Amino acid sequence: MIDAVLLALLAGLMHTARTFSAGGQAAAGTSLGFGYLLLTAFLSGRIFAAARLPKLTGYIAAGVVVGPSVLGFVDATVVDNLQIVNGIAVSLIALTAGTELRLDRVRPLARTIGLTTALGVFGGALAIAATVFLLRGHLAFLSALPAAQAAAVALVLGVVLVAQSPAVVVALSDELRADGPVTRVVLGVVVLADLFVIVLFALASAAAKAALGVAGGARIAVGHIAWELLGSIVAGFVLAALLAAYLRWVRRGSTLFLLTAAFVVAEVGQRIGFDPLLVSLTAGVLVRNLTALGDELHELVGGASLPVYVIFFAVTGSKLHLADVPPVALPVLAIVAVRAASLLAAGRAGARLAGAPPEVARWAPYGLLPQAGVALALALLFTRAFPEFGGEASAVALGVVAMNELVAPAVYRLALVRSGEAGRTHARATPAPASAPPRAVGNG
Amino acid sequence: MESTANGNGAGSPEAGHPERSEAAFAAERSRGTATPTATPIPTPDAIPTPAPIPALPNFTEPIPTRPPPRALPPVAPNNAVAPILQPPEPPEAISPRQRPGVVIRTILGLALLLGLAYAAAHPAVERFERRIGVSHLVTAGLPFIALGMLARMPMVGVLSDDVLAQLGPVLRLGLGWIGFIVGFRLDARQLTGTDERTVATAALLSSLPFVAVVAAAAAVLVPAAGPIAERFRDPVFLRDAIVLGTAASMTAATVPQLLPARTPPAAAAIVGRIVRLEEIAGILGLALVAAYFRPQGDAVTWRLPGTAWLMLTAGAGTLLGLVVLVLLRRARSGAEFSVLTLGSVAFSSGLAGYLHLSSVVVCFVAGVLLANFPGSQKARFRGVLDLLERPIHLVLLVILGALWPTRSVTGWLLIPVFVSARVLGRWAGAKAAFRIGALDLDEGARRVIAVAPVGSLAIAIVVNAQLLYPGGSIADAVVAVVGGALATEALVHAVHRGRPAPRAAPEPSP
Repeated sequence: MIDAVLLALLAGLMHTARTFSAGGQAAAGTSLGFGYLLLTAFLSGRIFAAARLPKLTGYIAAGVVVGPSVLGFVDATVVDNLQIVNGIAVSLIALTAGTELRLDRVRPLARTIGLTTALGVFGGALAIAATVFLLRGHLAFLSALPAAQAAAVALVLGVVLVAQSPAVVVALSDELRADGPVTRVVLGVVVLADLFVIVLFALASAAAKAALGVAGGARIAVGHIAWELLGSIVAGFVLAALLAAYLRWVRRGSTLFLLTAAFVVAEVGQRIGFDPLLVSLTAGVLVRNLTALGDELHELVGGASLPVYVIFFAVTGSKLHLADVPPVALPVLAIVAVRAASLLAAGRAGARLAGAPPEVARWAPYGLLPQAGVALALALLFTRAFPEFGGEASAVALGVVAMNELVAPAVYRLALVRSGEAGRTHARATPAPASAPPRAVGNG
Repeated sequence: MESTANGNGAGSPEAGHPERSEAAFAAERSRGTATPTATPIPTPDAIPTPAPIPALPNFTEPIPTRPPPRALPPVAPNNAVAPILQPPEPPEAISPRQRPGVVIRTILGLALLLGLAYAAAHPAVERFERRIGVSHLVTAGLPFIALGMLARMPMVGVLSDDVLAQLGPVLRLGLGWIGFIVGFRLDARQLTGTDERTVATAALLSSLPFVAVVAAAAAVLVPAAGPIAERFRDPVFLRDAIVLGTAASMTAATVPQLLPARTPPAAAAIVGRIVRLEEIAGILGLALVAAYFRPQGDAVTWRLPGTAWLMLTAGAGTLLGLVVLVLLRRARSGAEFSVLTLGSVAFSSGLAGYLHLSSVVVCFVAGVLLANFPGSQKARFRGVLDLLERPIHLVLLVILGALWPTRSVTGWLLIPVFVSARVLGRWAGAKAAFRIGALDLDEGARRVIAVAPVGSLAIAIVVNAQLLYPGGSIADAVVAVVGGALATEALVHAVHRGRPAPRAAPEPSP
């Protein structure tokens, strides 16, 4: 109750400020928007938690409500200005995910992860593409195209919309302190799927552009993939070396160095075409598995994890334009349903084929449903890559992401609770394996 | 003087009435209801112009209200500071040919940062710094200002305009953070027992440097042809001089630690209280400047007299303090407390900046309120504030270094003026306080008081002033105060050279 009153009070202050001033300096508006979004999302998360819903759904919902599409307290300019905060958050979330990936623990589940990822990404993308193709009569931007071109564009949308969310998975695991085979399989799958989706998106969009007769062929696509993937991985190696060196030899001011590194990865990464998520993920995996500093890094990032999650999901929510969804509600609902069905089926099939424990086959597929940052980024990339399709294509892509962003975390939360893995860890910084010597290098 | 008589920079009707057209104004004039341009006019939103009544034409005139007492002429933002005031442009993609160079520069930059951090933390380097006598300058943050200047250079290109634009909110957050810290230090219990002698000493130690710096700045900045009295009527000069004087009137909270070891603890504690009182004076100075020298433009839709802005500043700080208090009491864990603290500071400083109020002052008021309300949240709040104080201060210095207007000749000229006038004023203040029996310290301790370091609040005050008045000569004040702070650190070191280790802090230092 007090949280709701505080929410109303903060909204009142924002409203007063906006009627009082025609706009302060850009930095002041951004600082105000950041503070307001952080507090509002945090309080909303608590209200949602009281209703047994994931906190992060509350963060997203708060972003939607106070963002440009509903109340407009945080306008589009401020949301754009907060992009760098989001970039830093993505980088830190990826570092957390990387330091969670202990190869010695994941190795027994490798077959399950590989099969689930392959079936989920390829099967899911094809199923979504087929749905989009079949619904092209309801989609103005596809109905005018010949069948071959429509199929190519549908394939790109299929790849975009099959993307999953490492951020949601890591955040929910943190929130519920979950650990076990389901949690590990889901984390492995969503991270691996992220790599697949990046590659497939570049290939599929190159093929679609070729089919549409737009400039940009396969050679450019291959170069782009090579630069983005290999470059990001190499950059991840460099980042891991720098972080490990700092943690080993300097230590003092490591929080500041970590934030600086995350800022540089986010700022420079997006400008030179690297994927900040992949850079930081690689660095996290390397520090965890090749040095004895994994716990230290995990603890360091974990100390800042709550503000990072809150602001990341709130900003992600504020980017959703729900007002654009109603005109394309039917295709959006159909795609959401097909995506969920295909990913659940692929997840179960992958786990059974790999001989995974029954609880993995039963509960892990629900972890493939949430979408957030990666899917949103790809949806925006799709809009930019094919501007000729206009606002409707963007509305479909963003509508599907919005639905999955708002609903799927609650489903995965329930799955984690039912699987019995919730509450298994007291802190995210789990101790190093007992077999590993205290300061050994290469415990992976 | 560039400003016009009505205080809104309004030589034309539109300037005072942005919504009213020239034609409407001419029509009013023909009816005899138009207000002369020299008379301040309320905005149409606040007091709508009533319909004219021919029989009683005088009753139809709007009630004149007092304009902001020291209205400033509209000016374009200074080029140096413009990047952090403008919204950031979407980042430009770097062409494939330039990418390897950017990657190499980025890696080298991070490696350099790593190397600097490693070197700074190494005991051998710390010994070397002490031996050659630059440890105070290093502690004061000179390397970080240099780092900012280096990163801003076009050939390095790390802190480009768009990166600085994205760091603008960090600057605002940092100012709010410092405001909260200073306010939070002002626990009424720590000031209990402060007698008239301490208050008198604080008044002398803050007012005499203020007067000395204002007078010296007037002497230096006065144009060759104009009389000095004319200069003091120029609101821009007056504003800058008050900002400079306010910055000069404060000292770092570490002063008690610099006193000679023989100084009795009670006397050191009194010096600590004097520093607190000086901080209050500094905050008051900034509050007065922000209230009575309003920035121009239509960004703030209300037109209020300066006193009303002052009340609004205090009210906003109090209201935000109460909101933050309730918010912090809702925290269930350390992580939640961190989120709420970060959000509260960003919200408070952002709200103040949005209304063109001083972020430092508003957050200071909120901090005072938090410090003096009972509750278990105080120690945790202090812990979170302290945790990030140093990193935020260093990031501020890097941004300041990047924004440093190196071509500001007046600013460089003001550095020695600021330092010498401040030391002179403090020396006179300490001597006067000693003479009247208000300050019971020996000559060595009084010398420490006279050359006390400037402190981060003074820097925050000039940076805040620059954000409030981004154009014109305020940049010179920033150069003078930041340069003066570094120069004073060097002076402090010179005074302390060869002396035994400083005394232990009588209370937690910031």
